[in-house]
Amino acid sequence: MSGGFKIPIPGGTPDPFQPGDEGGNLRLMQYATLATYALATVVFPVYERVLVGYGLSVPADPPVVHRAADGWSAFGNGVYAAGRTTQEQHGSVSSANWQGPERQLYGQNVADYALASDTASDSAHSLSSILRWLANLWTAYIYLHAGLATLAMTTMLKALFVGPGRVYATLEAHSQAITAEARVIQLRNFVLQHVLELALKYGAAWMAEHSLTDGLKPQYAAGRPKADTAEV
Amino acid sequence: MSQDEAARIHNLPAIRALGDALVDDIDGTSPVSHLEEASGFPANMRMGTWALGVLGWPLANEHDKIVGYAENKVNSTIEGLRAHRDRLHTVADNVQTADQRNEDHVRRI
Repeated sequence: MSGGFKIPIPGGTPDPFQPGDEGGNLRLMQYATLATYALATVVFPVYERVLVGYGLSVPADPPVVHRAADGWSAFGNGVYAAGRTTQEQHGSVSSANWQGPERQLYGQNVADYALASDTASDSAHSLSSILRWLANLWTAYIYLHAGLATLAMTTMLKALFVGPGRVYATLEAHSQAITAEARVIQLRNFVLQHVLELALKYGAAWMAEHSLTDGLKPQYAAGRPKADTAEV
Repeated sequence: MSQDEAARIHNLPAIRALGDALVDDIDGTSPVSHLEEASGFPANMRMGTWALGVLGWPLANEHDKIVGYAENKVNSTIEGLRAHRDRLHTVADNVQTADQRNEDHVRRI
């Protein structure tokens, strides 16, 4: 205790190292650290830019989304019209023609059916408007990226005139200014961002499943015309 | 007594016409024809998994599932309306049979 800290000597008595730990040799760990940094600075950026970056940026096709929105809109109108027509037909038969409990029962069924078709039509119309919002956002996104690509092309054209060497030197200076740790942090942020995005979209899908399918999902023995009209 | 009498007043052609109006798709204004028109979604209504971007596949899958729900629902509703028309005709037939029998009983008495 009085001698303070002493560097452990491999092979001394007692030998401070166990058979598994390479006699205090840190080279393996150093190689592993080096490999990690190499991955972070060379392999992952290429992977991110070429594979993940391109794959994740494949955009939605706004015309496809607009067509789906048109389909939902037409569907909502048709279902709404069906409910209204049924109610009008029931109302157009005067009560003198058909009195008694049958007319009441049938009227109840018709009212239920009209209510269910209104609900389904509302769901379809909200789906349609959500899809239109998405399609317009994607259109804006695509135009934004077209603008960015134009800027990049301007840089390349500039490189033709001022000489490519200067642009390359700038890029290299940028890439050397960033340390491996900063690079790792950037990578973590990238992964976190996309994981969060995916979680957000899963949540949106779950909400769509639970709140936008009112009247569209077949719930058996609910919302459809009931089976027991009174028979005389 | 008056309740009993009221329950027996039926205009059978009107009831049958009401049933037929549910499924009559000649002039294109019956509920069934509206629903059939609605269930004819445009082609490619199912967008496909990657139509909302690569990370948007949960949404796209969900949308396609909802399209399937809606088609099933509309088809089952169309069947339900056809069954309803048959039921209205059955009601009218039953009323007719009962009236026939009452008249026969009265005549025999």
